[in-house]
Amino acid sequence: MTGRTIKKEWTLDLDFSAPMGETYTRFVEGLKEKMFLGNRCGERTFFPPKPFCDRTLEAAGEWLQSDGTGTVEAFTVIHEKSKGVVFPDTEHFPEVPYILGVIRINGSDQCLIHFLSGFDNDDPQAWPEKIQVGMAVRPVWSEKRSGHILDIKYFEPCE
Amino acid sequence: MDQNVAIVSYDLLDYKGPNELGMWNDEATFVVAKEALEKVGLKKKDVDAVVIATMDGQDGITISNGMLAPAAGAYERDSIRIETSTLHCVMSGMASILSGAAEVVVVASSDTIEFDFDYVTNANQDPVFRGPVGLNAWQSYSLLAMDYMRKSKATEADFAKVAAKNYLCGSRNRFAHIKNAYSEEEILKSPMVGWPLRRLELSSMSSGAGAFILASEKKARELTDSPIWIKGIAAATNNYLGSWEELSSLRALDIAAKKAYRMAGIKDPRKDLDFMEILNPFSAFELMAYEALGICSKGQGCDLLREGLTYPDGDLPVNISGGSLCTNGPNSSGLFRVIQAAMLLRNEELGEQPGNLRRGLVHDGDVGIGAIGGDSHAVMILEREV
Repeated sequence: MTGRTIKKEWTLDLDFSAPMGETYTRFVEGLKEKMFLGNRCGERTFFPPKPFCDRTLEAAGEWLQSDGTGTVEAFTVIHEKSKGVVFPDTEHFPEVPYILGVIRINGSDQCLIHFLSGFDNDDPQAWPEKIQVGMAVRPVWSEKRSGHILDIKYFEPCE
Repeated sequence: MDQNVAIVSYDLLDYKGPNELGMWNDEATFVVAKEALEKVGLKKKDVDAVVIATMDGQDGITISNGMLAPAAGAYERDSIRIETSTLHCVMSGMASILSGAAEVVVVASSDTIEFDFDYVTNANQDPVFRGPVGLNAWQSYSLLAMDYMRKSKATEADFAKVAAKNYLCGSRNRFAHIKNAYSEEEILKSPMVGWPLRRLELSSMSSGAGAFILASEKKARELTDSPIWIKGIAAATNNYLGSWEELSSLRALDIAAKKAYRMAGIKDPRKDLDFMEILNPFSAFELMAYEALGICSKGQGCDLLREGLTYPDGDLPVNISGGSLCTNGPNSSGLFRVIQAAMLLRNEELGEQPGNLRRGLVHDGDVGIGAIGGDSHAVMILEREV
């Protein structure tokens, strides 16, 4: 063995497609109309909707509608730009630093991860103090909506 | 368990940075599997089954473990391919042995391929809800770390302290990839990636390989005087889209640990265990894991650290190996911990370690590619013969 080795480089360029199914199709079509849809399964409520409840493995039933207001459960301030994203939406994707939040739509038993913005402070170092867990937020809708989670540009404080 | 299964042999490369190993993936797998077999006098013909842990997205090769299995002795034998978690490989290997289908099982994995971590861990998210907001592994860690700070007394300084503990251990371990004993100050000065986590609080990508041999009790006694017995092993899974309370509480780890403790007859893990080797892809995770593993109550993880309990000279050392912050093979991270734990039990030199370790815990799962979504956790209790 000489220990000599050369470096091999390769790239995968792959296309995928799939039906979104009834539950998620109905949800994203609601976004076009500025509706935030959810559903219920037994005692649990899901915004966004789920086809089933993980706990009981029962199919979800009744549809529910919300205006998308909710509360912040957790957040992070992203300082380092991601070196690659699979779903780049150049129109809506924020520049660093930006805030990624865990949001619970009012009444929901599951959470949503989305952008937070619109805080009355330009200093990203101050954001961790400015943003409170439990603070009320509402969706800011895009003018052009195509049935996509980024039809909501971001969530902003209600006050 | 009615019948025992043991780890009878192992081999581990010295871990390095990406592209520094100088071996193709089948070559690295072959080297460690061959050495592990030879150490106990086993030949190719003695291998009944092979279990390989890799993840296609990390390798840029679909079913990458299919081409690796023959490198660990799978030709004309069974090969079981598992995505990422080595403890799930152990469970599969044990199933082969306890069903009577095998006496000797090789578990192996390698990391030789450098990949785009941000892209692959974003592709790990669904394309409807989480993928489009760019969520990746490091961002999921930041959300958990922030949540933990709000729910406990832990501060950013505690996160730096736990990272420094790991780097100190790694600096003494010849197998570790990163051997720089970064201080708390250096860690706190490293760039903020996603508040509250800094660059030196997030694991890097390592290359290396490892293999170990599982054997039935009868076979184990023929092969070695120092078998490492698997006394308990269990796994559990979190929701993918669940409530934040569920996703942030490491519920699956808590459930897996309790089940593994029951199997191993452990009543008080803090007293009954001599050490732990846990998957800690970010600093705060280790403190969260102390709580989920039941060695302290909720919100008290930082007290164990501040009191020094989990340092190598403490009552219950955690990550004597240096943990994932020092060595993080995306495919073989669990193998690394299992083998390091076995070495500690056999009192083979890793660094400055306490002697006379009898019983240890190994944690594994798939949080190395992202948390808060369908992640599974597994816990294994290993014990040497007294």
